[in-house]
Amino acid sequence: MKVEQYSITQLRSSLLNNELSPEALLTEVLERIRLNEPMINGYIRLAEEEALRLASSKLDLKLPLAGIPIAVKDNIAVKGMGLSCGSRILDGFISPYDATAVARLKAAGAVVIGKTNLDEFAMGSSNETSYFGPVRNPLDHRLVPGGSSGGSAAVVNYGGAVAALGSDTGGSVRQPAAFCGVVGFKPTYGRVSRYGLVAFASSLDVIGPITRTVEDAGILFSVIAGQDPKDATSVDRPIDFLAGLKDGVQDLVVGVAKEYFPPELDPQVRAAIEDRIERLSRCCRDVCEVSLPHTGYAVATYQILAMAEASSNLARYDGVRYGYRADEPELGEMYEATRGAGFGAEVKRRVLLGSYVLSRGYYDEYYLVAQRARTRFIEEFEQAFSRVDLILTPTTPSLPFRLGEKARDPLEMYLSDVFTTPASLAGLSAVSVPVQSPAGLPVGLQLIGPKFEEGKLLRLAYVCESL
Amino acid sequence: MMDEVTRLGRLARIRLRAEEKSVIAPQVERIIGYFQKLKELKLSGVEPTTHGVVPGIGSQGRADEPIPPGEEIWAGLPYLKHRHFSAPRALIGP
Repeated sequence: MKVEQYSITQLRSSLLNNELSPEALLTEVLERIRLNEPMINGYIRLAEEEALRLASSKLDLKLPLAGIPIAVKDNIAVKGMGLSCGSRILDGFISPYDATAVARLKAAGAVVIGKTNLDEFAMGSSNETSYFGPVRNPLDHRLVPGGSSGGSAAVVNYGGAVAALGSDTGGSVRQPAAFCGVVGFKPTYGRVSRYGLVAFASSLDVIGPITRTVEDAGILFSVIAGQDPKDATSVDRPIDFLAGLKDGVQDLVVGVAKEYFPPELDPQVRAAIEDRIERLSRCCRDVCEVSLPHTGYAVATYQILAMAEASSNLARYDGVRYGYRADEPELGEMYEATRGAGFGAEVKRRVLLGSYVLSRGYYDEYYLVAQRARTRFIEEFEQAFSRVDLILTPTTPSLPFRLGEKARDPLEMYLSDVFTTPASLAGLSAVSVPVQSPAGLPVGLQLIGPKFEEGKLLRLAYVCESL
Repeated sequence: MMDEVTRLGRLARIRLRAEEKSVIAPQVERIIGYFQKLKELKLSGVEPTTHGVVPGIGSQGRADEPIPPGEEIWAGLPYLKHRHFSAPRALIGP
């Protein structure tokens, strides 16, 4: 059985028809992990024993995810399992509770198989900043898998899990999905509870599924979405994302954002996306050009806001209550030594820059300006959605790059998120659907939808994945 | 920029080695230079988005519960002594 070729829908059908047992499915997945992990490094920790115990227990196979092995990014809490965020500073920390999204997966019968590698505190676009070492792209081991949910995308690609949870602050679900040839879905901000997701930039952080098919993304999303009294930013909105998924898109007008096709766009990416636009134009009501003129300012706006929020959120890691603690005789020295040795280079850089943009004399010049620019992004998308139903763009400006290629130039790394950060700033839903370049390389096609229009977004994504 | 990075390190309570500062300083300078790009935008009169990118969120109460109650949470804390956090002295006496 080539487990990496099967979707949740197909596996559920086999499980319900007794053609496959949850134990046999898990054994296949564990075999893939044994074969691939020495090279890929997608997992930080596995819960093999607990997963086997659960898979061999009496599962209610009618549950939507009964017996399905699912991986969870290691910045999302799973009770009784380590929670590292890919950082030394959380050394030895065991989560005493489940994130709401994880609790909902478990209640739906999912088998949580392990915690996946990530850029430290989800800060990165290549999965090279983890304390636990870089993740490699299963499609070509010389390439990065993208980040920060690179471990989740990699293991879904090679069959080390049937699906995974990631988190998306500025593209961290969509960009690795594009690089690893899988589906990455960022729901509208507020759709999925952030309770149990370690905060990086609280006004941007969203938990989202990484799956092999659009339908699987919808299944996972249906399970994890919904208001949660433990997260004041979660919303009470109707959830019915799968109804109409296969109804076609003849009624939809799709906008192609012209600013997402600059001259420096990789020709392979351009060719792949333009080919899909041409094919899509035969299926939907209309395809037309839209303009999002602030796109070129997205990375600066995003980084200022995300770094500012990160510098505040990461202040809690001081070695006093849990995690790594440096041995120093005086409290202030202990704080500084703990954070100096506990955080990696990228996290330090972002916390320093976040402190800079929030400090006296610079707050108005940077942070306040970025907050105003954010309003512009929200307005710009609202204007575009008054003309079109959904917006289509490439997910990334380039193909997956080589390990180490951008590691010495943080600004160049930040710029690789230029197409994913605008939707994050506006709190919109967006999905990356895998397509192939003419040379057979993985390219992500991004669809951006209005707030809470995930049903429409997934309906178009479903068509796009089979174009 | 080296002095600025030293100041930021103190502000953020992160100890930086001299060689780290020499790597970080030009990177920070370049990134801050890139942020200047936002000065090209005409933003006077634009309201800042301070919270709530999605209408209606953030205005509801949150259920605060002790999580989890009982022994479980204490068991995961390595620096406890008699249910108090043990830490180095804040003041060093003469």
